[in-house]
Amino acid sequence: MQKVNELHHKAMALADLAEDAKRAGRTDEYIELTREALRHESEAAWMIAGELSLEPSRSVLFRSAATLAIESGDIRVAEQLIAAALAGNPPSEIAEELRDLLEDVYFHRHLKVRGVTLGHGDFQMTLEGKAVGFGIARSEVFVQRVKDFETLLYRTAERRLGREFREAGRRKKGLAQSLELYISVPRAASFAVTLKLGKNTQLQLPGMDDFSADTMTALLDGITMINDGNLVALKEAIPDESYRNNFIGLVERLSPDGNDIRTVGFTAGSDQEERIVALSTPKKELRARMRKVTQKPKHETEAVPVEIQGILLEADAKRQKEGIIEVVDSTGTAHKIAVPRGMMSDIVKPMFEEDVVVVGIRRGDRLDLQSIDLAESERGTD
Amino acid sequence: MSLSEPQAEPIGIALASLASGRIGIPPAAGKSIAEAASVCLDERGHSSPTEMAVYGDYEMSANIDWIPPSDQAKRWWNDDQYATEHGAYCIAALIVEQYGLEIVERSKKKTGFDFWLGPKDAQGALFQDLTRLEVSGVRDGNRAEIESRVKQKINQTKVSDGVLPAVIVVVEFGGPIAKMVERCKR
Repeated sequence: MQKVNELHHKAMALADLAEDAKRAGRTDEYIELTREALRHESEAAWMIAGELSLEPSRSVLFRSAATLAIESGDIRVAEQLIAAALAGNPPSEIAEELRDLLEDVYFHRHLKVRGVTLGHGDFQMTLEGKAVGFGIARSEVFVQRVKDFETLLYRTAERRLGREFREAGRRKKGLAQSLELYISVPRAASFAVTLKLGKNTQLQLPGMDDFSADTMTALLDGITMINDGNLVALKEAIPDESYRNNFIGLVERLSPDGNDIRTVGFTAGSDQEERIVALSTPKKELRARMRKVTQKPKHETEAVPVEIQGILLEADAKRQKEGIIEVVDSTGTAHKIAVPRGMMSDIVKPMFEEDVVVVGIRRGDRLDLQSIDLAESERGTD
Repeated sequence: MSLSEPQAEPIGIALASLASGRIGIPPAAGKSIAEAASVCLDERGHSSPTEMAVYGDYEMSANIDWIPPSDQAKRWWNDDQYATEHGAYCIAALIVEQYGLEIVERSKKKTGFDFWLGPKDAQGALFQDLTRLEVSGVRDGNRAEIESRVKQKINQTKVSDGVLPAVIVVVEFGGPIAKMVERCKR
């Protein structure tokens, strides 16, 4: 048992170092250290694999090793470790945690594209959660996300072309044609479709071979930054506030609710250069994190957080710097709320005349929008 | 093995003491989470020593002694969610110590590390006869939010059979205030 203890303690020390590397943005080092931690932890686990009565030690070590395997991308190894743990007699709460990990393993497996060749600029979107079965998904959770993704794609393209943020009006015909999005027949994974971008022959930026594929790369980069909570990098990548507000708002809409949809994954690139981005932070949590970063310092005593539920009755995007919306709550009181540039067209307007929940900051008479979402009653269960 | 009520009140909690490590916390990790806790307290406008109410299965007041964080530390811990989570680990570890248990082991789980409590002289095989420590942090909330987090944690660990003993601690940094609940005492 002494050897098991030593291996486990070494694994945890390496996992600490890996965590530090991850936070410092040293991704390669993070993966390397996590793999090293996995090597120690899995050796410890396999050493007591035959001692079925040694619980919770046996299952906790296997679960710990499987977590490290998932973090280091060794999905097949994680599957084997989880299976070994469940084949014993884990305490029921550890067994539940192992099954949660197994779902992660399956989701990662589904993110791996099988039997389909992704071209340069193509990508796969995969949904996982209670609203998703094997090859079937509730339409609203899928359709809304495809639409939001398409909007995100065009906004990213317009930004990369150096166009001023379009607060109103349709996207330019040429751009819409050249970045047309095609959807494949859904595949039985968690629920996966291939989204294909129309190849652009006219739109070229100096030094870029393929505008569509590079736009997709920029988009996935931005999602990764939000996923990692790296808003400093996002601000550098999207310096224009309108585009940035819009990007954050649309990624929030794409994000899982944590129940019906637990993960939204994207796989892009070819076999040689596959890239996987998984959005797994629930929408509410993501919003809270974004709000913390974007709001004024807390010492600003006159700033009061406000949440209002009511009908979104009026949307006015005529002002140059901001739009105004009006939300009428159940008592009939109308609340005028200022909407930052970048949020009106794609985030707020689709909810016009719906029952919404608005979160904002009140400073004196002024109320600034931070986030808006359909109220539970309007949303079904997603 | 369960918590035992401290003799004196208020209990003293010195964040810097974690820098020397514990059986299950290496010194570097202890120093790091203590720094996270100080960033959270500082950001909520507190100054040291800070009075904190502990309620739940045991009611007690505590005095938290801490060193104001450097600018560098504030920048390093600028992800609120991450800092709150790690700061809560620190406060929770130091509270349970006052009740006779210490973090003696860790393991990896989906959301980070899993902490296991035992007596300081724990000698058994890994994770044998230990109690899980479930921690949740709230940067700025109210009692309703604390109760909701406690309920969430209890539900997470609630199963029909074979339950592992657990101590659930939810730390809120605005008050600051902490709720501690013991589930399935040994």
